[in-house]
Amino acid sequence: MSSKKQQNAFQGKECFSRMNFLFQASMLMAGSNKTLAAYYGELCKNIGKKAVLKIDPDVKRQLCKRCSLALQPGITADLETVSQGKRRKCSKNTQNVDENTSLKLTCQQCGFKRKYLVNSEYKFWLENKESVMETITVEQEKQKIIRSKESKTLET
Amino acid sequence: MPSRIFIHSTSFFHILNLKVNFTMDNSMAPLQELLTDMVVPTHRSEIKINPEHITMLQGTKSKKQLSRKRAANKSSTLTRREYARLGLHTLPTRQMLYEEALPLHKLWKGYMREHLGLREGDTVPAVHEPTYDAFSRLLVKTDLHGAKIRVVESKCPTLVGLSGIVVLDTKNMLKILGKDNRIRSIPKSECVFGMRLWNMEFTIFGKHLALRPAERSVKKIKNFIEPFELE
Ligand SMILES: [Zn+2]
Repeated sequence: MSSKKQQNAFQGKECFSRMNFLFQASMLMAGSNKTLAAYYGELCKNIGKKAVLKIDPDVKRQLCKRCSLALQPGITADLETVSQGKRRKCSKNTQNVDENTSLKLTCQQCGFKRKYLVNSEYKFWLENKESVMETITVEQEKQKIIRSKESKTLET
Repeated sequence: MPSRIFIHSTSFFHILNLKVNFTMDNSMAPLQELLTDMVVPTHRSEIKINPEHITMLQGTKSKKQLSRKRAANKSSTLTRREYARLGLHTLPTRQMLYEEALPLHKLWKGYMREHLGLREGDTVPAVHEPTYDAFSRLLVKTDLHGAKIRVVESKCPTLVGLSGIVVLDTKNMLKILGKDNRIRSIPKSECVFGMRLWNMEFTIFGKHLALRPAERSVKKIKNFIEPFELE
């Protein structure tokens, strides 16, 4: 009974593991074969769309929004810092990082650019502790333990 | 002569045989002059021209409009033509090496262990066991990228015996990278595939795999998948 309940609690487990696998495969292929990397990335996104599952922003940002290529800075993408604001633009000390600076990630394949703020005060909702509803541990070992416990209870 | 002129453009300009080549902003002044000249001098003070009622026959779109459109096109989505131009549809038959796909196969093994909840040495539930149904349902939903696969049976005799690592999985095709570093396309629906995982051997009918890869993990499989087909 308890195992059934657990399975129900974690809906879309298969889809999540599949997406996870595809994302890793995309990252793996990013250097050698861009066609496959883009295909896997797109498939990962599409499964998320079909099954209505949300991808964590940190993961989502590692896939190009336009061509779904896995973006690895230095291999398939360029990473640079851009400081916003007209005064800062001309200043010499560009290495300074403050709340106006943003990261610019450029996809080498399709040239799509995205800017991300580097502001330590700004946080995702997901980074807040309040956003965590419940944690589910999915480990083979734990399931085994539960199974063995069940069998024991059945025996007694 | 009317004191107020509302022009509904086309007819007016056709009568006068005017060709207007100015852009919107510049053209208004000479037009106003022309219209005021036509009115009887005593009534000229009462002229009101509504600029919205004037449409120009010639002249290009203003630059602002064009630039906006271009900017909108450039963002986010790729059209299929752009996608093809980037070379994302092409997968040459002799470009990848078999060794390149090995890490993918290794990754796939780990994924299968997690997905099926199996460990090395486990056995697959037999047909009469109650878990068989759920297991086979799970097996059909697996991702095949990275699997080592062999064609066991096929309507086309030349396909039988081909083996390799699955590289691309589309609705009706599997692209397999063989040990001779060649990518081969194999239609799913006519074949029966064999798949090895540690000590287990799976046999999958390609007929059940012929779905879009993104849909496959979502779609509910209603029919019980029989181990043997009844002819
Ligand atoms: Zn891109």
